[in-house]
Amino acid sequence: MRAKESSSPLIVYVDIKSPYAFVAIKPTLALEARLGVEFDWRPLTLDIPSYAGSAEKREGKVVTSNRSASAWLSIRYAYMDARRYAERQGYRLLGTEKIWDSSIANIGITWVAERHRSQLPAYFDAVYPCFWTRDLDIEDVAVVCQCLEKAGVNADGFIEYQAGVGRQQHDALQAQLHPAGIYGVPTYVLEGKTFFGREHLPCIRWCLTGRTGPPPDIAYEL
Amino acid sequence: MKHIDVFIDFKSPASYLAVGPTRDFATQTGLDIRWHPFNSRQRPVPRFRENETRRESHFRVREQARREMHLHYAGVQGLPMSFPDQPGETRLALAGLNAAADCTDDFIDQAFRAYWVDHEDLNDPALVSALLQSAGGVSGTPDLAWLDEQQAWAESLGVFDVPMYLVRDQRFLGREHLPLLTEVVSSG
Repeated sequence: MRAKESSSPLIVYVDIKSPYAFVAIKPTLALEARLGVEFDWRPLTLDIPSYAGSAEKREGKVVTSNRSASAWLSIRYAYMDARRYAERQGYRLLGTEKIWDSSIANIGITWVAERHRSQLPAYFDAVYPCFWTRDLDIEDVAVVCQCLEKAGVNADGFIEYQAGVGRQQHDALQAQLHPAGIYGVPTYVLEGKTFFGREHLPCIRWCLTGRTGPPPDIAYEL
Repeated sequence: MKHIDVFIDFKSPASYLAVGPTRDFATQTGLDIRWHPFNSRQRPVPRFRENETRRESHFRVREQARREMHLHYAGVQGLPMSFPDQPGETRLALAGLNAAADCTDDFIDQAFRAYWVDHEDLNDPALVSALLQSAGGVSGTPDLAWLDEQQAWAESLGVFDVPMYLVRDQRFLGREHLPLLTEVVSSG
């Protein structure tokens, strides 16, 4: 798998633990449905401490942190912003209390995409909303198996897959991303060009529907 | 509601690209725009290093990707734009917003063009003075103490980057929020 190559017209990189990816799922799935195509959804497992520092909260209070004041300002704004759009989509979004290892749940994306592609929306629905109300331990492979089953996807073999071949594929893909110019989620890859953020969905839709009329500016469409 | 507060910095590419859509938004909603200065931090694209850390790689890739997107949408808007080698300082021109109170739009347009097209030094007193004269025949030295007060006020409101829109005590960073802003202001 090459980071910017696909037989699908659009590659979509997401991470279960990203609030911005969370609020991008619905509009991106809606575009997919509208176009009647299948996008190539892939995991990008963010290494948050490497660029945003790390922190842990207990009962809503920060107990450990190596983040600067400006980093906190930016992070708090990001959660507030994602929350207001999540609420418009009918979701609750609670800030996480630690930086999760989302790799197992993210490998689940590839498992579903390879074996039961039509159930990918159901998998996202099984994982994302519960994770963002702090009701899902995505580091527990048994929990992720339950999400797969809930999405109508057979989880037999997933435990071995996420520790073996699936993990190798995941790690090999992650290693390609920075060299390919991909660093965050959601990232869309269209005709080899990368677009970071769902604000580019108007442009992506314009490209995928024949480039009719003037090209649009960025927008978080409602 | 009769106005919207918008914080900008002339060296911010996102601010440059926000001016036109913001004016369109104001026309559609009937609001006045109150432009405010905010001295933001803009980063150059770091050079690739052989043994860069993951953090360094992240920031390099991010800044390069952001730059490419800004240039893409400058093309969409039909705006001339090229990045200077290093982000310049803009304090004096930002302070000039106070002096340009009666010719704000012209001053903003000229200051952004001076930075993004002509790569002028917006901290050069002669340049800023010329911009003020050209925009509205304004003379005098921009007041940096005023800018510092504005900066402190903006930060007290939670402004940390630009372009930041303030509507009913809510902050919106970026012109991508204009659809939601339209709904918020239209709700009365």
